[in-house]
Amino acid sequence: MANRIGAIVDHMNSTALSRNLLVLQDSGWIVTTFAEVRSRADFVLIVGTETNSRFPRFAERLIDPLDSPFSDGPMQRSVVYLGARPKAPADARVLDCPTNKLGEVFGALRCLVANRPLQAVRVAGLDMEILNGLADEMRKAKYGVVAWAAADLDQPHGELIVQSICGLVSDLNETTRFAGLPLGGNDADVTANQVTLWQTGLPLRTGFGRGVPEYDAYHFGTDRLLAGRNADVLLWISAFDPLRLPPETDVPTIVLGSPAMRFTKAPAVFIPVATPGLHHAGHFFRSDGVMAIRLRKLADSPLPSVAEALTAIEQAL
Amino acid sequence: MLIRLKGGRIYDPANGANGTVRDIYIRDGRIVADPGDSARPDQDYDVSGKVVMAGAIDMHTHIGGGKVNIARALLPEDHRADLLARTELTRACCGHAAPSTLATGYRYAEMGYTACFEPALLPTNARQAHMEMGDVPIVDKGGYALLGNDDLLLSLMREGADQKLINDYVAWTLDVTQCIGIKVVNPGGINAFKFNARKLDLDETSPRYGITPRAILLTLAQAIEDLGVPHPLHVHGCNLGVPGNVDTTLETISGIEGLPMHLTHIQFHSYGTEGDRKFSSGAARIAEAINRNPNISADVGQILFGQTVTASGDNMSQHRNRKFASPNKWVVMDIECDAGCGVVPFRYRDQNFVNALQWAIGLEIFLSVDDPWRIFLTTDHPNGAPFTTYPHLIRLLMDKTFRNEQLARLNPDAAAASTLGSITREYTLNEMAIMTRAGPAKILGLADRGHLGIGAGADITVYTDHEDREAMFRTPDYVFKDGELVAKDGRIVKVTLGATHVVKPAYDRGIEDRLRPFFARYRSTRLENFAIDEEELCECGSSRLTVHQCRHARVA
Repeated sequence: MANRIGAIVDHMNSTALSRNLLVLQDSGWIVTTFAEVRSRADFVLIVGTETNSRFPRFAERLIDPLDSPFSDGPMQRSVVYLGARPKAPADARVLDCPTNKLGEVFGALRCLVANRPLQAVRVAGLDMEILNGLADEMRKAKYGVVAWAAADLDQPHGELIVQSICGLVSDLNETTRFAGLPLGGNDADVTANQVTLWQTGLPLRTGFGRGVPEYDAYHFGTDRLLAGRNADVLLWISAFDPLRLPPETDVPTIVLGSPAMRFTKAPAVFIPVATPGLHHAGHFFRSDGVMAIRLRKLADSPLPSVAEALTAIEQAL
Repeated sequence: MLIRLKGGRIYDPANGANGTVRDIYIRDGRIVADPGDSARPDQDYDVSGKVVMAGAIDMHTHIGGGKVNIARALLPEDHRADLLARTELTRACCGHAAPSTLATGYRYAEMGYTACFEPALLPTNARQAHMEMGDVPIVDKGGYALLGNDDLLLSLMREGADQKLINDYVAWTLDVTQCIGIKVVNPGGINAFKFNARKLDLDETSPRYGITPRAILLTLAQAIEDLGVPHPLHVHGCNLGVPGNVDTTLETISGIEGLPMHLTHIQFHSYGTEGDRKFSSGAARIAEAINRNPNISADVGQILFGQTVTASGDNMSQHRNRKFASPNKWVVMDIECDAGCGVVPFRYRDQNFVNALQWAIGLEIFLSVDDPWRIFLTTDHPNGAPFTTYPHLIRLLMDKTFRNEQLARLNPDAAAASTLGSITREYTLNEMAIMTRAGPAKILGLADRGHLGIGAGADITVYTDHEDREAMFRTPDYVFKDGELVAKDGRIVKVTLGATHVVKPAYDRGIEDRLRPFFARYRSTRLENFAIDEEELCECGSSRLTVHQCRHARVA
């Protein structure tokens, strides 16, 4: 439909997602997936504060199991949490560091991993002794992982933190194996980006206004378009989460959403829709951004799917 | 509805027609016999004097799956330079090095291609690959499932599992991933890279499993043979791109012990170490080996100059090649104890000695392999060049004068190091029809594609016989897909859905009991959630599942 009417396609989580995407477009990365982390990682650095609350089964599925097809007994896995008071288990190793200083920490670690001299006593409040120890541990890891959720890096130019993480991971691969683990996927953000990429060749924040696809990570962000009144209608889709309401705006708003949505300001049009994986089949990219999962129909619903609603609207245009 | 193509010159090597003038009749998507004078065609196309071939088949092209989408994500600047505007029929999208799925389907169809085979479908990523291929319109699709670096197969081999069990695992993989063949990429090497090995030679044992690439190749080739799968084991060998790898490739050929084997993008595996720059052509030795061993087939993986992106399962080689990334950005991934991938943008330059010689090596191989049924026209899209360069490549093969003009423009040291200038062979239209139609259909076991006999699917391309073969093959007059006119004069006139081609060798379902515990413990999906069925394929955009026959139903 966007192709037909010349709309811009974006996602409610794009601001976070684009922190990763901009790094991918600028320098690339070395990354891994869940099964590799679970069975192989002997060192995991978890960056950010909310990993375990955003991904409630992260530790249970990937960090806690210590049986591995590659070791005869239980494997050894060092786990370190780094961030502004990260929500970590009581006995976890935690390095407290404000989000806006994370880039400095990874810059220092790159320096130490490369055996370059660093004239500092402390970086981002962390003693050099701690950072030296961490760098040493990373170099000695056989398969290390740095996990982050871009949503946690919510600050201006948060993508530079991602880039410094990926730079460190790349450097470590000169001598050992290391990989990043970008966590995301909530509200089908990764799914939406993957499909937009393969159908158009460009990621989210691609518009069709001039008859060809145009990608603009800055100007085509929803908040910016609404604030500048550069959009004359907002079509807001949230089939999974009734709490994700459209942003407050004077721009006429159409909502395709869960029937459980409760609005403070009624949209111009509200079309209740069924939930994928509950009322109809579909697909969903998992939180490591790689594996596509089959969603199955578990119950009947009288409501249309988002696809059915959009197709009907398009046919009526 | 009856359609007649009247008076064309038919190039149909599978049925012995080499420029024979005759009419072709189409009914219900199939080619039918001349219905006699009483039957009046509903549509009549006068194609007298024109060249008529079956729709072309690309048997090795990276059109979908995780690594292709990473390539798309990596290169927005490449896409901006090649935008396809929305039309009444087609959607706005981008093309070039890693084109969108829509652009892929439109442009293949416009060039007269009617089937494309994605050669590196990770079993864990089969779902995404089929979703992407479902969004490639018009052309038929199929995939080769990747095995040989998965911890499951390597564990089975280390435990000394018998061939029968491995055959069941291979057949099960084909079944649940909806594929038509099995590919192995850098056998054992992708897995070894996860244990920090940076190379793995044919007879080197892998770090964890103590298994050699040679043993992996033999085991999988034997499984394909035992299961009667038509397509030979599809092999991307060890040491891709490494000078001197011609010896590895020749050892790989002799090491397969007479079993059928397809060596893919063999150009990248045909390098010697002679000369001042320790980089030379091994094409003559490779071509001789192919000519001498009827069990061997190959596609070339020709490089052509300009910007492209290399997308490969071979993350060990791609990590090595990151130093050549242009623009300087790249992605390497380890995936799900199953495989991996690496995506590195490349700009091949005609004044660069190595790139120019790679170009010449590919053409030397094309022109030195005697049997066109065993050599296939590919650029390993997009790794050697985007598939949209095929008409140019066809002209290089069919036009010696044009070829030598191009050769004269290259890095002179590379031109001097190649025998290409002395090769006089020019491919004929009949040979081109073999290499791009009849040959791929035969080696994939597609009984009703790649030919124009009675009963064949009416995938047909009609060209104006033009001396400039590039112009001729770029813009066919008519392209029919399953009897429907989909492109005319190089423009899409109808957008249809293509079928998915698969094989279903028989196997013992008991294999799932053996695999289930591994999935439950170490994989992050359960076995029950792994399989893709026909309903899901069609939901993803496939028109239907087309199951092709295996040579025998069951192995004792």
